[in-house]
Amino acid sequence: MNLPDEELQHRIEQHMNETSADGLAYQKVFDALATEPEFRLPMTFADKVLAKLDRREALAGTREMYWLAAGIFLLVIAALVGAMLIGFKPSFGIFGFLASYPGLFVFGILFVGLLQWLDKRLVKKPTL
Amino acid sequence: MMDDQALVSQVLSGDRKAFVQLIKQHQRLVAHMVARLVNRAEDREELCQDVFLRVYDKLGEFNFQSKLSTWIATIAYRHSVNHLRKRKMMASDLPEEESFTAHFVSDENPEEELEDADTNTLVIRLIDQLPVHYRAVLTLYHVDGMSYQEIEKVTGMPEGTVKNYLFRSRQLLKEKVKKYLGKEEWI
Repeated sequence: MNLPDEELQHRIEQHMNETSADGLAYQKVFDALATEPEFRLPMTFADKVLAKLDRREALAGTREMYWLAAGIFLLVIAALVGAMLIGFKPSFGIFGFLASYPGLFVFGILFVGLLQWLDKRLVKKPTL
Repeated sequence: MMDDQALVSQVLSGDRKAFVQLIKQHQRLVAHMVARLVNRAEDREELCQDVFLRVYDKLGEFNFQSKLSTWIATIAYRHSVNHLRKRKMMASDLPEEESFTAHFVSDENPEEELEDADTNTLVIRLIDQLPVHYRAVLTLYHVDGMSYQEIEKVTGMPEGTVKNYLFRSRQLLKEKVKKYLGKEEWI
C-alpha cells in the first residue's frame, strides 16, 4: 500500500521503519537534513568580532570629531559673515567686566568642561 | 551556563567577557543559518561577524518575549536574506511552484556530477538548490531542532506556511533521491 507523503513523513519522524521506495528515499532525506553544514567558524571568531567592534567604535569617535570640527568651522564662518553683513564693530564692554573677575571666567570654563566629561563618562557609556 | 537574562544584563553593563560568552553560545546557530542560506563561502564569516555586531547594537531592545537563541536566529535570518537581496542572489524569493517543481525534479540530472558522492552528499547539494525560505525552515527544524512556533518567530512566516514549506521541500528532495536510488539499482 502506498501511503500519502504526509503520512510517510510523519512516520519517518517517529523513527518508524519504512520499506517502500518512497519510505527509503524519505529516510535518506531525513538523515541528510539532520547533518550540520560543513562550514565552521574559526576558534578566534569571538576575538575577531570584538576587534571589529573596537574598530567601529574608534571610527565613530573619529567621525564625531570631524563633525565637531566642521561645526565649529561653519559657526566661525557664519559669525564672520553675519558681522560683515550688519557692520558689527567689536566692543569689549562685557569682556572688560569679565577682566575684573578672571577667577570667575576660568571657573566657568572648567565647570562646563567638567559637565561635558561627566556626561560622556557616566551617561553615554553603558548603552549599546 | 549563565541564563539568558543574566547574560544579557552583563553584556548591557559593558562586560566584554559576557559578550564573548554570548557569541560562543550562539555561533553555531548563526553559522548554520548563514551557511545554508549564503552559498558564497567567502562571504560567510564576515556575515556571521556582522550578525553579532547587530546583536550587540540591538541587545537593549531584546524583551525576553522569546528565547535569546530564537532572537539571534531571527537577526541571522534577516541579515542573510538582506545580504542575498543586496547581491541580487535572490531573483525571486520563491519561484513559481509548478515550474520550479518541474525543473527541480526534471530528468536533467545534476546527480551525474555526483557519480562518486553518496546519497547524503547528493541531498546536501540539492538543499543548496532549493529556494532560500525552504532552506531556512529546513535548517531551523532539522539541524537546530526548533519548533514550528520558534521558526514562525524567526522567519515571520505563519505556522501553516512553515509546515507547508517543510513538507514541500522534503517531498521535492525525496522525488529527486528516489530517482537517484532507482538509477543506482540499474547500474
